[in-house]
Amino acid sequence: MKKINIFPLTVQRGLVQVAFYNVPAAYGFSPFYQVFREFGVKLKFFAHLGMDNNTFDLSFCLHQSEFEDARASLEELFDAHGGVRMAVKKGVATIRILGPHFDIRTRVSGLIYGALVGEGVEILGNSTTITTCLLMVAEDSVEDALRGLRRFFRDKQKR
Amino acid sequence: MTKTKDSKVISILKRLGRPPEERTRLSGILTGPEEMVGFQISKLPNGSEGAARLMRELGENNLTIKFIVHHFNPGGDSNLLLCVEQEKLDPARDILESFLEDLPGSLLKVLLSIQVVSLYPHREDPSVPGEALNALREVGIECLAVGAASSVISLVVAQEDLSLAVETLKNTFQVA
Repeated sequence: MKKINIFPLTVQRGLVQVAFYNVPAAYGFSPFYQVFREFGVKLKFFAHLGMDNNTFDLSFCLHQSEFEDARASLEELFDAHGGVRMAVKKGVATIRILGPHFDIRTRVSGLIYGALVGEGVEILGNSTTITTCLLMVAEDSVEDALRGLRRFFRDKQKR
Repeated sequence: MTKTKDSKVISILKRLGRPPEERTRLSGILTGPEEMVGFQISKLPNGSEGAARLMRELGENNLTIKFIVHHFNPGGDSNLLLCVEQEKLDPARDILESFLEDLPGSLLKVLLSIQVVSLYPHREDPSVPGEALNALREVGIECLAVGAASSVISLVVAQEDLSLAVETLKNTFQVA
């Protein structure tokens, strides 16, 4: 199978994933936004998903240092509502896959997921829009993930 | 050096002279060329392997996925929203219903007539999703999903909310 040409794969390491589950829709995103603003957080990954029971799930990545600064405030948000679950995973990385025509080409998502699973990589999150796929994986599986992706995609590796 | 407190008059003058708060700048707001349909899948089991099988199944049936937000629960299952073109509603639904039939506990919800609105550049700045979600909420629009990938952040809204959403976002951000 001919490899698909893509732009160089881009990795960001040293991240922490924070996820909130079951946040009441009425609570809104504003409290989280306030914490991000207060601590100057840069969102390395962001996924917000409305659920059927009038709640939403939120998953984002930030740098380890920013997480340490904002941790107490984030935990306060979690404590504010009894039904909300919070999960933290350290040692996370993101991989950006930028390709032309992803939005009109079939099988790309299947290739990406298959490539990672084939190398035993666990996907922690995915945000795909227009021509970009941003994946979240454990940092210690980045090299496996890149190897898997390069079986199906040809990227001009950065020197 | 000790900073002395401004007098009341000085404080007022400073406030009057401060320029209006600048809106967050964006290069553009994009909407998709076509209406889409969304499939919200909850509790998809078997972690990454389960998701990979699902994506492969869709690809092998020539379905192009235009938008995905996917995240995994600590228990190993996952929740996701994926969007395809409106005209692919029936084949996509058939495939997904068939795929999920043997996966007890997983749930499928079809979101008819949706659109994706993309804001760029995102620059990892929380102001972009923060201000967008707040502004849309104020006009009664709840986003079905939001996903950021590189320099673009995309929001999924109901097709019927599209015009108001775009107008609201243009009023919220300074768009070049």
